[in-house]
Amino acid sequence: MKQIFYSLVLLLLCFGIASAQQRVIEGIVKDENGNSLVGANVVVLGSDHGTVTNASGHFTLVINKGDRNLKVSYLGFQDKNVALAGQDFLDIVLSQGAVGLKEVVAIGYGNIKKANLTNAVAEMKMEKVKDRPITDIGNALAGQLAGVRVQSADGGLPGSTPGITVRGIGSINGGTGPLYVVDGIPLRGGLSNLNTSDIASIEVLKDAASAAIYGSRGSNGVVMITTKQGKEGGPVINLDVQTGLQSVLKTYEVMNRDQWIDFAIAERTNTYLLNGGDPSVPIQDRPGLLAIDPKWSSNPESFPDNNWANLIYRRAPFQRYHLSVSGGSDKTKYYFGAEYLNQEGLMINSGYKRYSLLANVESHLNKRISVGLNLNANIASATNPDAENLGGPVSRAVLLPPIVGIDQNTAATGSNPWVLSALVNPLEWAKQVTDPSNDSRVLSSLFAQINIIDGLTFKSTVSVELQNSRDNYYMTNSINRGKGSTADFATGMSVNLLSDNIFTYDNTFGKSHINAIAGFTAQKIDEQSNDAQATGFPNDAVRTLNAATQILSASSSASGSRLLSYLARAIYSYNDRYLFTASIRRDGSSKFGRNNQWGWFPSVSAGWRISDENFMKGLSSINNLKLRVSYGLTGNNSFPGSNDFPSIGALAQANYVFGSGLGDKQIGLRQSTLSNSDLTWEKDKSVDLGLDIAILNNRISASLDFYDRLTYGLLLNVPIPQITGFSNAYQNVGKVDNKGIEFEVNAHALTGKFKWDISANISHNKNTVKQLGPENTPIPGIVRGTIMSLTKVGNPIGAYYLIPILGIFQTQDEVDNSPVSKRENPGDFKYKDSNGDGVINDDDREIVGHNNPDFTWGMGNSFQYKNLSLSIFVDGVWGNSLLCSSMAGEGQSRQNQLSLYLDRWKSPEDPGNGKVPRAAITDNLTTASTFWMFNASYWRIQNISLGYAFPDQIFHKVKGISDVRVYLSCENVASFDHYYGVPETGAQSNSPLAPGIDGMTTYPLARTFTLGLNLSFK
Amino acid sequence: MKNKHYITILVLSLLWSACSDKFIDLTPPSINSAEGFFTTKDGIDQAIIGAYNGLRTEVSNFSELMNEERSDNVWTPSIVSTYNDLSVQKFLVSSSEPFLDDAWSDPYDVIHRCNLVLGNIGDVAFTDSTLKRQYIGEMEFIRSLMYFDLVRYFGGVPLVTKSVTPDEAVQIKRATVQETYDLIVSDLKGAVNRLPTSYTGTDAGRATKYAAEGLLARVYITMSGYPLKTQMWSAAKNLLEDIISSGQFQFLPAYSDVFSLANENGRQCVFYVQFKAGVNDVGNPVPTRNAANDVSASTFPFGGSPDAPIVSQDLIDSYEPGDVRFTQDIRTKWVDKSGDTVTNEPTIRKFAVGQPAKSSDWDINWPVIRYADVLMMYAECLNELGYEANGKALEILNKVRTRAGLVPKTAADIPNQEAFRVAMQNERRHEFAFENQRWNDLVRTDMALDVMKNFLNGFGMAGNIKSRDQYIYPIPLQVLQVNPSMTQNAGY
Repeated sequence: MKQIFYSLVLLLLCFGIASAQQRVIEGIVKDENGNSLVGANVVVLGSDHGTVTNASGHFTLVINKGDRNLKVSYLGFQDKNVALAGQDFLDIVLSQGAVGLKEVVAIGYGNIKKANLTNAVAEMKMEKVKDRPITDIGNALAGQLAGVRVQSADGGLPGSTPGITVRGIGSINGGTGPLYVVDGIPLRGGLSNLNTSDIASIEVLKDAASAAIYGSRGSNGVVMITTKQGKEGGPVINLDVQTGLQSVLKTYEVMNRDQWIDFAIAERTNTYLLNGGDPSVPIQDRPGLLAIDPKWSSNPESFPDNNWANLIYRRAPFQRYHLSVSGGSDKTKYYFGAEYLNQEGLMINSGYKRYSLLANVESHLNKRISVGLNLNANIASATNPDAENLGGPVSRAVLLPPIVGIDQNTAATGSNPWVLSALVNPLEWAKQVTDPSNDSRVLSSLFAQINIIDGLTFKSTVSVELQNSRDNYYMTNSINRGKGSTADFATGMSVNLLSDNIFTYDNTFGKSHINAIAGFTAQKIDEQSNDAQATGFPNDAVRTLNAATQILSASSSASGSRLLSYLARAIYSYNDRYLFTASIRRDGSSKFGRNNQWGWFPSVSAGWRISDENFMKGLSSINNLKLRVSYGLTGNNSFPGSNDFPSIGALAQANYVFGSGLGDKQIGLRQSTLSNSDLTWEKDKSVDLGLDIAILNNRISASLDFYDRLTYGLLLNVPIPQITGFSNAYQNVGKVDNKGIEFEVNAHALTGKFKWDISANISHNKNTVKQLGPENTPIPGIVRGTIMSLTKVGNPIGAYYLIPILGIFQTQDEVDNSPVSKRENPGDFKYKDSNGDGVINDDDREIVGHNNPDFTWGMGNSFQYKNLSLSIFVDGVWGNSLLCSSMAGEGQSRQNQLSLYLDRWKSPEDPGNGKVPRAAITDNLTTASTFWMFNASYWRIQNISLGYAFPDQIFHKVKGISDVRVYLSCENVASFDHYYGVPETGAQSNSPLAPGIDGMTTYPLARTFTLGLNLSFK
Repeated sequence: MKNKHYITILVLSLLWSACSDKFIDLTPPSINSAEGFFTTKDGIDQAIIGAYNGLRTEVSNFSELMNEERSDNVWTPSIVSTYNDLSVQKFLVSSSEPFLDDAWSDPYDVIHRCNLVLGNIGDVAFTDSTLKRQYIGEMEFIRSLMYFDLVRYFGGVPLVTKSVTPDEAVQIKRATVQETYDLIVSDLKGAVNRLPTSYTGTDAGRATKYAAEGLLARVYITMSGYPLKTQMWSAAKNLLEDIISSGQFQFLPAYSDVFSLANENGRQCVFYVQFKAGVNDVGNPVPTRNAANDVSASTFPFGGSPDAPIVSQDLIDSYEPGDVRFTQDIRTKWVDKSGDTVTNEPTIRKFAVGQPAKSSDWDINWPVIRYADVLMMYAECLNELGYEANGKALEILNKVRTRAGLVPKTAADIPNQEAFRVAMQNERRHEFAFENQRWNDLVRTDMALDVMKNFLNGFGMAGNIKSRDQYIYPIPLQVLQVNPSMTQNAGY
């Protein structure tokens, strides 16, 4: 804090100089409804001297005596000139103009007026989440946009990136995530480590018609990220400081000592007797881990009651500092931003730090030529004691019974004799296993734009995305259960080079307006990775490979891809009433077979603004009514296993021995995969029908979209006649359909002194597999060696495939009169004999659920009274399930259990909740049944933020300070769900074929309280 | 205006340069592409080694399961194992069992390796035309060996003699048994013509002319029996005589010498699959597969396998007292991990020679054709072409018996052709125990139906043997699913 104080003083000194020939004016900028406009530009006309309005819409500006006019502008509104006639306070109202919204949205290779949009493009201003301690795009988007699902499979692991899917799962083996485009640069992969403070807005191209401009990469949608740009005026300096404290909101609920002892005694007795044990044998003398310590019941207090979660999780601080300087003249605009983020993890020895720099500069060299530079650099370093390892601390904090001593169950300290020795002490694991990782990314582009003739411009951009990663994993001998200390050192680097060359023609002829682009792009990606593993470290002091005595393996590999594209798009509008868009892209990709390297990706869409028709003139309450329809074709070029060369038949070593005597090994080769010159991208054609409406003087606006998205030519590894020499080959044969409805509404419920804004969205998607290869053979999803899900025609991808449980057997009579699987007794599961053959076996599996929510929704409410603001954001999903694979174990009381076992069957008189069986090791535990499946629906109060903008009078005297705001924010206030852990999970497996599988390894979710301070200077 | 022209030129030239397809023609840096691989001599050299490599899986994975465990030499009680092999032993194989997929696809994988070489080698320049001939011969030899396995496992199969696409493959129907044998014979005739009589130095272990002759003789003998019953004894005899008269081979004086590491690639070897321990991925897994899962490390280094077949009591009882092959080949007792001696689960000891470098990594080569077999096939041919009371055939039989420590038979013991047949098959059962010959001998002599009915009767399962349809296996279900024009074998 000390450093910040000094910086503040320095800044104040710099800007606190004012001349005597000046006076101060104040004012407020509002829209026609009286809503104050935050961030509106107020500039002295004819100069670059100006300011922006603060959070309450107010501004203070020092003007010279001779200044005559102010120019006030705001995105989506008409500019306004205000005469300075000696007043001290100006009440300025901006209008949205005849057509309504003039706001522009990015649609790829250009922008379009939102009002003229004919496609399904969702938009979010980062302004909405600026008070929240959000560190990545995924969490920023969660619940905000209809049709965009965010699933944080890694829970609250610092630095983790949640998965984003747009309009359902559209691929089985290929990628299912959208293409990310940052300031026009399509990224090589994901968004991890991108600084969120400097992002202005996020647009999601949802329908194929809008995504078709990205051709072979557009089928899972496109997420376009636009960073902040400088505005005329300024310089404006903004400092934002957030500091907070995180604590565990949600982790697995387990049994405590006394509950475990009760469970263990019951389970061990039952299991012993079930296996024909002699009841007269003293309980402590029973074999193996069926023995019971008599002291458990006689003196339970003599055992520890360790809550492992409390031992490995902590309260952890969160800090973020963001400083930006922006401004410009009519010639040059600039924005510079710097962010430092330090988030310690809830688990001891875990954490995440990030340093980010952003520079966006654009300069008009003359009337025709402008040049610009975008530079975005991020360096992230994370520490993580391999928290989500299947045998790691998150899991072991659940499974290690509370009676185990705080230092027991490592190779060095020995195991507690009453529990599984394989369960490693989570506290020691978290202390001893280290995995420092570093990731850096530089995204940069340089462009030149030439205005050839009026209306026609040519823009050429060269971009680069450089990525480097490195991590150094180390596990001590003691945690590795005496099998030696091991280290794994991995590095990766990639270079993504891009050249964009685009002509844009924009002109108006009478009532017609045309905006057209044409151009080509070339993209070149090269990547390399290295990995080495070693063992035999003399001690744990030095953890780099130089200290190892034995290298176990070392490898390096390289890959890459090339993409050459030609694209064109025309947007035509007549009288702003009839709107047409057509686009086409031709992609040539190095990834696919010679015969199918090139593809066309066309799209057409149209819009009709009905509200502008004469027959609607009478209905003045309807401000906007627009019908949209679109159709487009896109592709998905991310091949299963991220293989960049799937069409090429590969050779594999096939060695043999020749030579007299014992002979010698000779190196041979065989063709291991089939060449397929026809292999190509998965294709997606989708139709979207949309309706936009705004009523009551734009106080309520809403959008409704219906879509049908058919993905075909899905890459499946299908069996082929083995007489070819191969058993399987990838072919473009599958089909999946996603149909859905999206609804968004925004309302200014109250617009007076007390303001209330609501924005809400809800979406529904139905995923159906239509075709799976020539024989439609279902594809099982296998986790831990067990089939858990099935992808089958007529059902969603990766639907859970289990034997349904009807309940718990209460009496022997009931057991005797029911079909049974193995040996069932009262207290065991009563399975459904799905096929009615009188036997319970794998043939009785049914498709019983899936991980795709029926509904995904989010709702934000924001209130403002004078300088005080309050916002609440709530979101949820409904109708999906998850599968807890850890329930499949037979560990029972050799470990601890989820607290659901407190509701177990004990006797017909004490039957529990009718879902949980008795405590005993039976074959039932490993039978794939709905016992493993949980309702994954949840709703969550994601955030409550309270802000206070200090009245201008208070800091008026301090020259330079224009805006002071403090806020208090609570992220993840509360969560309501049906699971014993984090329902948003998928940490063990979240592949389309086996989605939402929890191995009890999901890092806990954090509740974060932050206090923020925002200062603006000019 | 001048500027504008420059810009136009610049833009057009940019467009032009980027138009090239070359930009997206990328060579994978870390994937060894098969494209162009078969067009150079170096590529062919390595592809040949890759084809030989295919023999390793064929031997270690399926041959024992499909042949030895089908016969009366093996009976694994259910209590020892619950693995798939039991259905083979109990004659309850259904077409959906996964091992059948492998037994079908693995030979075709190797055939494909041969076809790739044979289809491409014609255009590859060789400075040494003899080497090119030899390579063609070697591929014909390996391909015929694979089809010979396939025809005996499944009957007539689709004949693929060049690389085919999946679309072409579904057009290829099953050939008859006769057509399949015709291809095998023609391949082997080609191999006999093209292969050299021997190799020296680093080439030792490759298929020779005599290997091809020996295999062709076995093919002829098999064709002479069930199901084709084409009398080819004389042709087989001529081939075997050629091998014997070459003087290149020797009937080693002691049975144990045949399986000694000192005699690897020695004079008893007509054709062996080559293995070597300790150099990664070319060791022999069979000895480990044959040792009981529960065997102690002191008895058997690096342990055994859950798939170990148990030697049948029927085989044990069939040995004459003093037969050295009994102790050499069968481990009648062994110590388990808890230190107890196990005597009721006899396992196969043959080939467990020397020390493995690690689990499933042994030096011992696998005999496909050893010289004793050449002699015994020759004796069988002689007997089939005309019984001779004290002839060459009996001499050979006694040579084998004497080496095994048994009393020679006299003409009085074997008074006629049929008696010699019985004596010969009995001798083959012991000489080639666990060398995957027994089942094929039972089938070609058409003894299998009676012998196996009798054998399974001992376990109350005689009813499982229904007909000669069970001499071959069902076509794997997956093969039928992928190609609807394939037909299932009768009885399945």
